[in-house]
Amino acid sequence: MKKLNTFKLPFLLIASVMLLVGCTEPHILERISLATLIGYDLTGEDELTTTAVMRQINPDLESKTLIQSTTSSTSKGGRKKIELATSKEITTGQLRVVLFGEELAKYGLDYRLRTIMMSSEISNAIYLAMVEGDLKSFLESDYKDIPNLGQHIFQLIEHNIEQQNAVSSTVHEISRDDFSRVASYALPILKKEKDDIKISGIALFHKGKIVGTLSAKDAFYIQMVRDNSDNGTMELNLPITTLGDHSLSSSKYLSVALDSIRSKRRITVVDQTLPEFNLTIHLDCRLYEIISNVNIDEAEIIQKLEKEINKKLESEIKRVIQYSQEVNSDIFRFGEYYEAQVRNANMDVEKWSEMYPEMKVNVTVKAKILRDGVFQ
Amino acid sequence: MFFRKKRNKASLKKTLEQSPPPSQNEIDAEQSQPSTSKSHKDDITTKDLSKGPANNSTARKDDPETISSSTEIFVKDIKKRIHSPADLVIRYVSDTITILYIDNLIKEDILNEKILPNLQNMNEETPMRIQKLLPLPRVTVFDRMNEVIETMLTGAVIIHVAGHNLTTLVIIPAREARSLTSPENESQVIGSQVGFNESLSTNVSLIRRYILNPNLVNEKIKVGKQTNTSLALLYIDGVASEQNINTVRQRLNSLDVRDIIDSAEIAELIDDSSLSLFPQILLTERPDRFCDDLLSGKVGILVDGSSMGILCPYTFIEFFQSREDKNLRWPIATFVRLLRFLAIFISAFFTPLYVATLTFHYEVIPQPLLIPLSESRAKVPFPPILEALFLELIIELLREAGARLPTKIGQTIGIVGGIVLGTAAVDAGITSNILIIIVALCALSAFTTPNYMMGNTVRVLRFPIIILAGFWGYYGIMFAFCMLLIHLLRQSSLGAPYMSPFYPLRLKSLADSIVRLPYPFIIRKSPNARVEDPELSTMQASLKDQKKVKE
Repeated sequence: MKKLNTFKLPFLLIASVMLLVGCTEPHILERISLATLIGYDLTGEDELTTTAVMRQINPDLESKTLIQSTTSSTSKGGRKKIELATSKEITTGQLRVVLFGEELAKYGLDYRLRTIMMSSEISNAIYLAMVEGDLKSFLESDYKDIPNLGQHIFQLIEHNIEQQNAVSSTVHEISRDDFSRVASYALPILKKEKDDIKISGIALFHKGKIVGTLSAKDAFYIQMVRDNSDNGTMELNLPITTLGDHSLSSSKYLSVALDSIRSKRRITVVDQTLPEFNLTIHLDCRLYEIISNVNIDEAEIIQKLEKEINKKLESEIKRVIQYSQEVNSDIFRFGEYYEAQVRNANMDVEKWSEMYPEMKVNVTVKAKILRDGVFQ
Repeated sequence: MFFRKKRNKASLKKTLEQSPPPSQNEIDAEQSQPSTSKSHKDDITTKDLSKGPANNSTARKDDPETISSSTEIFVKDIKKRIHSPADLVIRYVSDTITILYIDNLIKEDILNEKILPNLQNMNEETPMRIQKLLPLPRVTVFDRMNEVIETMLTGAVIIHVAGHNLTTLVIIPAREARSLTSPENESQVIGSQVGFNESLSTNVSLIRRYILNPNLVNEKIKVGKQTNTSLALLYIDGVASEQNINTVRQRLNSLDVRDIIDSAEIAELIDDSSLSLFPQILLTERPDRFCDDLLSGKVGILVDGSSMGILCPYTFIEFFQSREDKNLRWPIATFVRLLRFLAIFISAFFTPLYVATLTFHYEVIPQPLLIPLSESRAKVPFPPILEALFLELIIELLREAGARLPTKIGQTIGIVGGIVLGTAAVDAGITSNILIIIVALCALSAFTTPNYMMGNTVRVLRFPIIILAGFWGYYGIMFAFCMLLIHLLRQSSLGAPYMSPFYPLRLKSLADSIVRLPYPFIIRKSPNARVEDPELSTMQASLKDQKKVKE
């Protein structure tokens, strides 16, 4: 009897291992087709077009991408229809990018976002983006130099976000803004240009619907207001009179290229009723290029430059904020700051939607050129 | 049976009086003869081979077996006792003196040069006189039959004088032993290159050469009813804790076994948990490591006929330390140690991770790795678990074949098996080449463990984890990891925690376990060997004059 007891535990363990094996659901890597990109668009009234870019592994050691497209009213239904046309089970664990068509963006992304968030298979770190024009033709057109469309678009978005050329749009960030009662989100816009794909701009959303667009260049200013950063390059056109008569160039502007070493921003509520905000940005930067033969060594000239850079950046940031106020899309999360700093704010979507266009922001940029020796 | 016995904790008091080995009692009962003569205990000094407390058995007076004064009866008795072997030599030197010995067990030249001439020239011979006159160091007089037989079997000449109830025994053992060679299983690049051999006396002398200290205690214990194997219990008085010494002594004395051939058997029998996968007692063939551990407060056992010494108590972490770590400079030794710890995890978890990832968790594969991984798998018809088990089996077969075959053939098998089978398996599409790399890496990692016993464990550990990974994915691996951790935490070595210094956390010894500290910084030499005098637990290495002479 005692001997039986000693072996009871190992026996039970082994038995449970054996019996519970049936409960697991294996996905063996080469026996599934991996969707790397999924696009949603709207056709007609309620019909949803789902387009999936899949990677399939063949025994002849050549992996190829497969593009399947179908229409149905739900995304799961679309997946089921695609399944009918593929030889292997479709899995979304390796999904990197989800694209939305322009039509769908106008209709509203809310339901699609919920579906993506709900799926346990889909990572929170994948990127969302909007496509200018028709999504199906965008994905199904023949790109000669792009062997793997899913991976290409993923890398395109990823490296541009890293270099502050595009607004960051992971599922995590978008859902944070989406769940917030006061903030709105922005997505990068992709566009087909001949045989290439490029990021053409930024789409501003309000309550899940697209309300306006900004050019891709403005992404840097948006990121500077949204977050502290330590990356990114910008080109500024300063007035030709900045450096007095030293300029020999005949152009209308004095062009400078700056590399941001670090930027820190601070937002405080000044007036609760209006509301009014103070936005201060400390920018430490490096002077990369200047189209002038002026002597940069002199401290006076650097100070003049800094002053003009401050002016220019302030006006640019003001312009971007003003546009977002016009379309009533709080992509900078001023509402969050307001709620955090004002007691008993009791914000909700309607209240902030009314307050946001009236908001006043005093932008102060304090740029500092730390190094200029790069080109000497 | 011995599993239960070992649970009893050793008593703290040193027990000096020991019961005689069970073997003697049995022979006594069997060969009981009526006592005819008185005990001569008062006027003779009976000296045994050993000084240990285990053989203090001459004090018993009611022992029936005595030595016959008649030569004929004595010879008959001896023959009966040892079943008249073919190599028993009986020689009548003179009318009264008879000598008996077993051929090849004694040094014949000493017999011829020193014993025989002396005996022939002797007049008025008594056993006591012979003992005095013979110019040899180990001459003893016995009055009891079983002692005579026992001593003779270790290599002694019996000199019987007719008319006396005593015999003189001259101990001149001639034991064939391998000459000292370098330790092959625990080789090291720098450091001493000598290993134990199969002779107990040589091994003890090796230890004594390293530790010239009167406090080095050598106790003799006999184990094994049939084999009568001698063990030497070695420790340094004042360093090794009394509790540990008593525990080891008690476990050895309470062993009730028939046959003991090697020290590994003893180690398994006196382990805290013999059913465990992990060894709790170290086996080493290096005298320098043995001495090192004696100095840090461990108890050592040497077994006659075995080239492996036993050391206890040991901790898990110490199995991954090599004696060579102390000979290398500390940053290098630390790097090597960290490499070994990393190797444990690689060896146990790398193949299971591959299996689990490819079977269940394709989501975690980074995108750049996705294409090479899936393309190498595309031709393989089996699920990853079968593929991995198949390759691991090949590696294990190769290792076993290499270990069993003679060295020259073994190497060839390794090359042929490794290269031919590996390439052919990939070409045939049975395995993927990425898995071959992983399996080879795992095998290599397992071989970095400095201790052979622990290396085996680390290698075998992988198989259940692979199976669990193939069944349950990462959950299976976590399950296996938890079970392993629970098991390790439950183990003890001589009652001391096996996972020390990690659990229970002992910060003082933690540093020297993972990092090999410079000598002056070592606070405690061994994580769980308690030391009697706390002064001795530190590595004392300071300068006498406080300053290093620079010129």
